[in-house]
Amino acid sequence: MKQIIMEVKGVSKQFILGDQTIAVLRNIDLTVEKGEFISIMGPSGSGKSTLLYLMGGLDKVSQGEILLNGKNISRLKDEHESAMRRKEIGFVFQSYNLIDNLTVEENILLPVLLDGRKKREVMGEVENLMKAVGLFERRKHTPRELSGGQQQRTAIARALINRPDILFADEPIGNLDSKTGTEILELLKKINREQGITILMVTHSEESAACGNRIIHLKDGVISD
Amino acid sequence: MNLIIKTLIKNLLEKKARTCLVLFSIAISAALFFANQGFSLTCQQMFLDASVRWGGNADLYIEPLKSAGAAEWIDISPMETYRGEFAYQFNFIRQNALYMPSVEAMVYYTLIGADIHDFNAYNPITLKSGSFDDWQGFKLIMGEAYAQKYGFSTGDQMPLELNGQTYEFTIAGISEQKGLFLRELADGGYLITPRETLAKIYGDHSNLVFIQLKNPAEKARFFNELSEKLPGYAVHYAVDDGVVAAEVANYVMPFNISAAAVIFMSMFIIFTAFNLISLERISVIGTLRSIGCTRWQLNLILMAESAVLGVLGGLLGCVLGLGVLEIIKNSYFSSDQTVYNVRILLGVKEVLISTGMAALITVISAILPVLKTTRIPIKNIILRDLEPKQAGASHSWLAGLALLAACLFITPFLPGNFAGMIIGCTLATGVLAGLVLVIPRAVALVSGLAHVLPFTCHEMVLGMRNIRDNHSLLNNIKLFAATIAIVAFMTTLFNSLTMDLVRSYNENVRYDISLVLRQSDQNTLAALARVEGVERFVGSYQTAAMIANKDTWFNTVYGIDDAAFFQLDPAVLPPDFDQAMQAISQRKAIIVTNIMKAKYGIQQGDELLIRFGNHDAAYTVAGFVDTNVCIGHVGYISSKNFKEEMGVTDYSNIAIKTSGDPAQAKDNIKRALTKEVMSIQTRQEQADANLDKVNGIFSSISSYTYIAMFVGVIGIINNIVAGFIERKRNFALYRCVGMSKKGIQKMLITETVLIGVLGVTFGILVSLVMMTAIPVSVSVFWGTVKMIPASREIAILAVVSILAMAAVSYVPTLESSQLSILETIKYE
Repeated sequence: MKQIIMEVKGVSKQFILGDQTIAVLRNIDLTVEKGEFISIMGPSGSGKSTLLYLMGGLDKVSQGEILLNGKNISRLKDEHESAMRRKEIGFVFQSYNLIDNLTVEENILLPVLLDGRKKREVMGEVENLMKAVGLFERRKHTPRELSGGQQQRTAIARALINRPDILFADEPIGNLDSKTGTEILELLKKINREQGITILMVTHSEESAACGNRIIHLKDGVISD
Repeated sequence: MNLIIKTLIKNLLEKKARTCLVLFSIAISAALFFANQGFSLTCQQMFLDASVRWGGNADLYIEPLKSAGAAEWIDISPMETYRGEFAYQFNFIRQNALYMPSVEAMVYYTLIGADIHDFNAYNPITLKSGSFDDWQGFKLIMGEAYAQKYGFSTGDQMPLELNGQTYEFTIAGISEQKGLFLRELADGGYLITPRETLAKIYGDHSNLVFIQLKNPAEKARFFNELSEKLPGYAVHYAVDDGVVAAEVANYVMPFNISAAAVIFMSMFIIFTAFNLISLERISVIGTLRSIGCTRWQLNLILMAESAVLGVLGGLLGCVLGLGVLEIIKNSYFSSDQTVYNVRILLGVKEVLISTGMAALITVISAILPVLKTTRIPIKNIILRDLEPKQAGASHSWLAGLALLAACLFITPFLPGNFAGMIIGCTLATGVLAGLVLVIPRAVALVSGLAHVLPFTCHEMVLGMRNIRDNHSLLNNIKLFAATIAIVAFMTTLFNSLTMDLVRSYNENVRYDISLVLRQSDQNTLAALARVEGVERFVGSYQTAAMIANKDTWFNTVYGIDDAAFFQLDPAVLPPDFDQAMQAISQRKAIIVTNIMKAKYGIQQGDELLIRFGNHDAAYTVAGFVDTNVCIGHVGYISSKNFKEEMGVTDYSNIAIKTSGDPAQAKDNIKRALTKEVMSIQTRQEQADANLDKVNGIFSSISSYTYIAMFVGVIGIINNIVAGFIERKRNFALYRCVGMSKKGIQKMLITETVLIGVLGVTFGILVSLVMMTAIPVSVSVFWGTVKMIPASREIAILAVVSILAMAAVSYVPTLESSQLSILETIKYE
């Protein structure tokens, strides 16, 4: 039996807009096993990105709880939450979200350095990662000097540097052309396959969803089959 | 078009804080400009009041010559032929009256015998108490200042010695500090009594005549005609407009220089504020462009908008300017006990000029940001690709270094004349421009050291890197550094001038007492020589005089007996001075100061046409000296020539060297010479009075710079907040990869404190470069000055500035603690 890495139990999320309360997620239950590559699909406004951000600790649930490696991440203090983001999870966004004034190498190093580790201790790993994502020759360039695909690969490398247990990807190829998008998806598959890193990916593309080994459909804030 | 305007205005009003900051910056600039105008007018009125104090509303006045054998009384019959052209001719009697409650407290008053209706027509008296009723007998009107000093009230008796006899006068009224009774404590006390009273004591004659012409435009003609017709008397202009203008120019010039520095800073602040406003409105601008609004239309609307902001800020500034003017007036006159009723003078013209200037400054400051924003391609706005692609490393820092080097290496070789002063000031201003260009490179070098510093954590390293790469943060350093540089420069300038004045009195002034005698005949001088404590003394004659062929003035022309004068009075004598002294004793020759040589290009052998009273005399320049105390426009001729030109016999002033305590010697002199002593001051008393005056001027000019610094700090706070808003997304990204809230705060504090430290460091370093221009900038009006950095004040400024920036870091750290990662990433 595979190890359960993440559990979502009875999670609901509401937003208040003006004088209205909008229910985005309703009573979601979900388990994620180690090594899975899960695609979360659904139409616009279905709550898929919201679910991803809740599971990634970037937002707080309204009701329910989310457990990562047995820890309830909904109740963590900031220090522990930040440490979780550095060590246990990685995030890849649709618009890459790199730091503009840092080079590729520095962007990748950032979580490590924030964790208090020394640069010289991890440079070997950084170089390996850069080679793995095909950016070793561009390591001294800033994001402004990279293409969309190169930026996304940098973001993926940054997400992986601390060897997280789980990688969250929010429409990772949404801003890329189809060829580059395919390359990114192949990279994610490779990471999942070779390193056993669990991946949760939000997408609205059937083709992207097919890369994973499980698809979760969301509609109107609930999981539908 | 209306819809576009409405959209932009609405958008502007949504950014209330930013709009308020721009308005406030404009308002402060306008306030300082407004205050500058008002102060200039106030100074002008002050000097005019001082002139009008004696002249009243008369055009001319006539008095006997002060030479031996001159007529004591004026024969007014020759003036009968002009009666029809005079609006009035008032004939008064003027005498000295001694009030001596004790030897130490004795004072000579100028007592004027006049018909009170005539006097009020010439120079109206405003009574604080008492009345003019029954104006006859031994009655007096006295001024408020002396009434307070001696504790007099209406109805009191005041014994006065006249013509060797003491008479008891009754104080019929006490006048306000206006007209003749303005500045009494500084310029001498006045008393008014019925003309018949003095006529009974001295005879029914007149020795003071005031004339008002029916046609004031004929003033010069009457001056010349009466001078010719009455050679035995001295004819004067009642109010000399030339003197007033020259005095005002001297007082107002430092304020104009300060105002220029402040306007420069304000433009910088408005420029950065407009940069931010434009950035924040980029999406609106992009949308408008995408639906068809042309670039030209947008530029026009945005520039018009800036002009409107300028006008609103200008009007607000005029209101603030009244407060600023009050502050400046109070600092300026705080040490001058003799000044009362200094009125702030402003009118519609000043409001219009200030508002117009504010609008102009705002439009000029807004041009670049507006053009930069509207030039961004629409696609880039929509895709939020706003950063310019850099072709390569910028080398503008080389130009900045060149500007710094120019000031450092050229100013020591500049001549001490007007051209040198202008070039020096220009180079000093250029240093500020150089600072702006050099800072990015300097910050890059410093942040490169971040990794090697042992005490830094990664958040701090990131903070240092952010300062290098972020334009808003760099702008803050530039603004802060420029502010510190200007304040340090101005403080050092004032410190140098103040220390020079102190040094002049301590090192150069060799007399201990300055004495004015009622008459300095041989008996009086012999009596002075016998006074205990008096070692030796030197007399001189003094007057102000116009240089008719140079359109300028001597503050003082001295008539000196010989070179012994310079043993006690300050001057730096050149090696060939003996020849110059010989020249002035043998013929009509004059020694002038090096300042005048530099300012007007006067050379040895040049002829100066000097106006002594009512005639001009040609004097050849025989040599040059340096003197600081009289601030430059000084000339020396022989006492023989002076007496001939001015028709005087008594010394204007006697400089005394004492053998012991000057204060004791002063009392001894007063006891020995009693009624012969018109005024007496020790060197220390003179130095303190001058220093107070100079400190008053400098402290009021300093108000400008500190107000500007306050505006600068407000601008920096705004930039920091705006910079935080701009970089919210980045902060959210840091949080996404695991930086804690404390880590973000550490980073922000590092940035803000580093802005303070770097701003202070660069500012002080650059101010040291600017200070090299001080000697040449002030030499034209002050003489040779050694630059003395105001180290204590600069150190305090540095510490307070850094602490202030540390305190300011509270603002973004508070905002960061409330940052929502998700909202920022998704919705920014």
